[in-house]
Amino acid sequence: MRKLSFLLPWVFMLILTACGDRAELEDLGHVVVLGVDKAEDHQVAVTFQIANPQVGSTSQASAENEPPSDILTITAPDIVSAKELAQSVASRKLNFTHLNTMIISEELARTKQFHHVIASSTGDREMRREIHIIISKEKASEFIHANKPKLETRPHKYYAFMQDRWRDIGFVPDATINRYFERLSGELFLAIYATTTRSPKHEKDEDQYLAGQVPQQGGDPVQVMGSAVFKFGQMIGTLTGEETRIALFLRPKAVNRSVVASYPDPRKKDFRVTVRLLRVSPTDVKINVHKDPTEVKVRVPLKVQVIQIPSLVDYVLDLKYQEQLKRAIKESLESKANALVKKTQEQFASEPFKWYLFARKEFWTMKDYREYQWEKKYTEAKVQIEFMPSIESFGKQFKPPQIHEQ
Amino acid sequence: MIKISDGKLGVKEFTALVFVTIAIKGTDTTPDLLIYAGMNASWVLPIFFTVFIFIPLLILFPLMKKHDQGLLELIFRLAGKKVGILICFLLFLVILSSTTVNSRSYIDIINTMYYPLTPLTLQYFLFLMVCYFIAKRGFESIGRASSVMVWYLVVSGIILLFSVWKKSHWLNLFPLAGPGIIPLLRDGAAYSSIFGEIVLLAVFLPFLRSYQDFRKASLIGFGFSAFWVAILCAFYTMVFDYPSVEYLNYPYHQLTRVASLGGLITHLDAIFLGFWVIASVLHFSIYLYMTAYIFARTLRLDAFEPLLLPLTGLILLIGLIPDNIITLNQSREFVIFSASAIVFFLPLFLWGLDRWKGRRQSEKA
Amino acid sequence: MPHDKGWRKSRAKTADNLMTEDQPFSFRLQTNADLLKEIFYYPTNLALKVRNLYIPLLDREGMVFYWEDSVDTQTIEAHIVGPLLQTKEIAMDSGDIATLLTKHVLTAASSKKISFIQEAIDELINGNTVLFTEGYAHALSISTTSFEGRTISLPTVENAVKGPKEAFIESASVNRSLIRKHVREHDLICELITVGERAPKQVSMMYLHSIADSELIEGVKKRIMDIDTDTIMNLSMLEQHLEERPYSLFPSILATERPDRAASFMYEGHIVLIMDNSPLALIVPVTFWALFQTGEDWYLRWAYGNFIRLIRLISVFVALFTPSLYIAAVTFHVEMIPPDLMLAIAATRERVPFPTLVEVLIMEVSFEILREAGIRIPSVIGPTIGILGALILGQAAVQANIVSPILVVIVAITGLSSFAIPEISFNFGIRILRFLMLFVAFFTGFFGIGLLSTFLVAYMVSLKSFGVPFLSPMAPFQPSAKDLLYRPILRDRLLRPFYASPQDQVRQKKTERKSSR
Repeated sequence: MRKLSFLLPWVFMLILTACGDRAELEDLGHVVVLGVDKAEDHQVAVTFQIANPQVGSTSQASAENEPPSDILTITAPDIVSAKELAQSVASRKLNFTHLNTMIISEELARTKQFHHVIASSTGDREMRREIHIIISKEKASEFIHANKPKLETRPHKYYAFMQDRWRDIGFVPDATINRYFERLSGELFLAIYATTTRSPKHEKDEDQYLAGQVPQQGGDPVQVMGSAVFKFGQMIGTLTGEETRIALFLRPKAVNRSVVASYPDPRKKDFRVTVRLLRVSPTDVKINVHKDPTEVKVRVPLKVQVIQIPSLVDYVLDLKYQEQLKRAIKESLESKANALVKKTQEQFASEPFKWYLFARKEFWTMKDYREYQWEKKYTEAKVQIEFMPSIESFGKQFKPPQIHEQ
Repeated sequence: MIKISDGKLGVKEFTALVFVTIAIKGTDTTPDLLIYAGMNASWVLPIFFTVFIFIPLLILFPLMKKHDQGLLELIFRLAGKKVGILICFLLFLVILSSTTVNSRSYIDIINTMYYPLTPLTLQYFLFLMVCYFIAKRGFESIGRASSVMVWYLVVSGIILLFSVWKKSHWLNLFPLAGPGIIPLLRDGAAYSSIFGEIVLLAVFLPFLRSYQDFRKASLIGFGFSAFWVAILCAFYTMVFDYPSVEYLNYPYHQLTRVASLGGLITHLDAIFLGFWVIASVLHFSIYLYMTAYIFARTLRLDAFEPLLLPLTGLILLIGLIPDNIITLNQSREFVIFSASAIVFFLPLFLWGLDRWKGRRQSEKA
Repeated sequence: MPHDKGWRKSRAKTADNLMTEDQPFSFRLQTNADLLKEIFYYPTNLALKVRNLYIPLLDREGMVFYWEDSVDTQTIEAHIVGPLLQTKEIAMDSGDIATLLTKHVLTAASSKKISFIQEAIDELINGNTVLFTEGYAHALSISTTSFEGRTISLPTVENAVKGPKEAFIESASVNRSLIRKHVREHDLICELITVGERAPKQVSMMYLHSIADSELIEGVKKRIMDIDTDTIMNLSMLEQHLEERPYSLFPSILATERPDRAASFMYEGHIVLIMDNSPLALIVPVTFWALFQTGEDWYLRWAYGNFIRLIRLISVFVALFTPSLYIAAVTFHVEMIPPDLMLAIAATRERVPFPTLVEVLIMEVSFEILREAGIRIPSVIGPTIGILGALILGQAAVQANIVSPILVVIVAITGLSSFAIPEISFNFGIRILRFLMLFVAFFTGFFGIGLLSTFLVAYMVSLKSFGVPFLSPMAPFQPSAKDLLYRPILRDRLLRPFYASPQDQVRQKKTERKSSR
């Protein structure tokens, strides 16, 4: 009995108060996309896209007349207080646990405020470091409102699919908050660049575009292409889709294993050859910190699968042509890479290639490395980039069928 | 009735117990200290600790073998009754304060990372209650339970490492020496009582079948624990990268939040929480038992299991005093430093006494 | 029959304390007869049958007593009454009447001399025939037992696809015979222990003398003899008298209905207990692994045996944890559920008026009701249970917005898994623990599940069954046949469990694989 009377108050306490963290699933409003815009007085306008579970998730309990998601924008000093304030509008308790995408307007990203928003938000328990960062050209709220994908009713599914596609094609980097936090001391951080606005321009290279520039008819309103470049927690420029790809190639560890790209046909100048580039082994970076200027040697081993030869030149059976094609691809890649390195050296004065990791390897203590000031040294460094493509296969036909005119 | 269940532990059980006692330190706030001191080379520190702790162990183990007695009996035998009581009481204070401070810090982790709205008092009560029930079942039960659960813990740990493998980058470990060799060595010595339990675990020698079993189990368990803590620290740096990892409050729990198996199975942190709770409950049952045991031996009491309940209550009450984790971390550091000194000098002191007594006896003869 | 030493312990209080505990027989036949008749309430109770006869060989009056419906009258006729009446002349062999009759006259299988009233009562109610003769203060008890019972049939609970299909029945002698058929060893010992004050019952304790630990045998024997109760109906009740922790959720004794299983346990040094009226054998001591394994694991080939073990292991975990994991995930750790599933659950939950715990409880309790009803329902209307069950645990409940569809799946998988746990006591234990787990998960999520699981393991390792730790040889670790969760191939099953007698630890020597060439 004495034991019981000791335990009883605790049991009651358990039943009455432990409910604090418990929430029934249907009481929660699951925010799947978060948009952050610049507002006046150092405030931010936070846009919540709240998934409606009753649309598109199950046939058992579907509400026909409701939209798939509710979008609302609240202006507040920071994300957490916006979340609290939004509760005055939203019927359900907002919850970030399934939040996977954060959209930040370019306007905000270009200010110092960006870092404050991101850095303070991860103090919230529900904010994960795996949230993807997308920089939108227009206001984030406009972006979210305009994004009505045709094939996916539920917004989270759209972003989940899109994230897989980005990984495949490599036009955009795989940018998460965690990666952002890793690169705060002068290294360049690449975020996903996207827009729903259009300013099409025609390029000969199919991937020299930024988001919004890809000529498109029909389809979804969102274009995701290229990357936003951050330095010291502030956006300082953009890279096009192709530049992003090259940057990813130059990184030591590949997120995207294969990309498809076209290169000028070495024998018929008007045509291009479409190939698939596969990364089979990590990029090899050698940095000599003892020389002045610093020497950086990068070797990128690549496997090439030739997919299409619109010029119908016989690159398959003619070994000499093959060698020419290989060299053409190599040169094309190298010149683009060199141009990119030059751009980063001059325009951004830092590198997005994670080469700082290799520079760190050359030092014994953290102090030495910091004193070396890699970012500064990089701007003057002598960078040698060598792509080493080897043609692996030629698709399913030996030779393109020829028209035999009599 | 049957010889086998003689209430004593074998090598496997004690190894598991040592592992649960020490290896869990890689998952609480200890890595914060290590990262602060060792920067990106924090993973080297556990290895240094091992080396430093070996010195008192090398002194203590032969002494224990010579007298074939546990640490407490050894103290009484060599230092006499009065000094013995003093030393034992000191040990009791060390273990009581570290149990209190650590258990509170564990509850703080659970509270901030998983249940921010649940009253801390309640969680603390539940946690210590289960620890008490397990400790009450006796030392052999703790040892056996550890030997059963340790496999689940190890497997869950390996799964965790696998699930963050893709996000880790071994180049993050460079520059290898971090703050430099000298600071590493200095901090390795200063913080080595983080692993000091291995000396305190020597009080449990009477619960083991033989001295050989004890030595083997302690060394194996200790080796694996140090290895595990080192691996975890390396992974924190590899996943979060150096300056960024320094801002993390509880790196292990941040790591579980990042873990994912493939694209579909993400957000596994709650499952790892379950396993972590299992490990911490076992950990504190051992501590609780050790506290009660040392206290009883200090006062030369035979039955110490009735002491468990009041001690648990005491720990709960003291543990609830600090307001937040930051004040707690300061007291934690104080406990670690004072314990370091004791852990280092106690074996030396005992060894000196032993030599002195031995000489006096040989002089008499 | 082996010597019965238990009888002195049992003390009957029958017939209004007519006789003292060990009142000897009188020399007068009629006195003995009257006493017995009074004890058995003759003639109100017609169960006691008496036959007066004249024994020419002895030239004396005799009386044959037997208890109706427990004897084989054919045997009495052919082997007792017949020979007694017909034998007139033998090569004279002076001696005790009992010895004389046993040696020369009676053709029944076995008989013994008795001297006390209490013995006569015991013998009679056990179906033996008691023969009194005039002027002789002893009696002869001749075994003629024949109780009605069913014949050996298939096991009803422990089915096996590949393996013997005989099961124990309600007769102890038949059960013993079934075991002896499996264990043909000269040192298979069967001790009889009598328990119960008012209506003593015999417990047969069987073991292999060279394998079972002698301390263990003594311990079990002592535990049985120490039972202080008026009567024990059958083994299932004996089991409850024997166990150390009556409140524990984990059983410490195993009941099996398969003779082959009992026999194989004997070869591992366990003790088998058998009683009349119980189609079971009790096996002591028992470890966790025995509750978890079936005989079939060893009958099937290595891969298949391990496969079904793995399946059962999974089902133990599923049965114990699924509802609580669901509740913890849905109410505390929403982030765990993949977004698509989470939204689907949320959508259906939106129309369910109850909190998740109530919803789960409704389903789990209905399932338990269904299960209990399934056992109690008369077999004639048995099929209705399936229809009703499908209604409650199915689409109808979902359409009525009482539960969400995912819960039907969860309850179904939990229920199915609980059926895969072979041992009935263990099965109950898991099912009850499941509810405990459920509440803990509801209040504190994974934190509570972790706490409770650790406590359970700590509790399990501290359990002992007749001195053998419950989780041995895993914790405490002992060298063993490694027959725990995984079973080795038969050739590698080298050791007996450690609790077997130490002099015979090795089952077989490690043999090299013989190649077929």
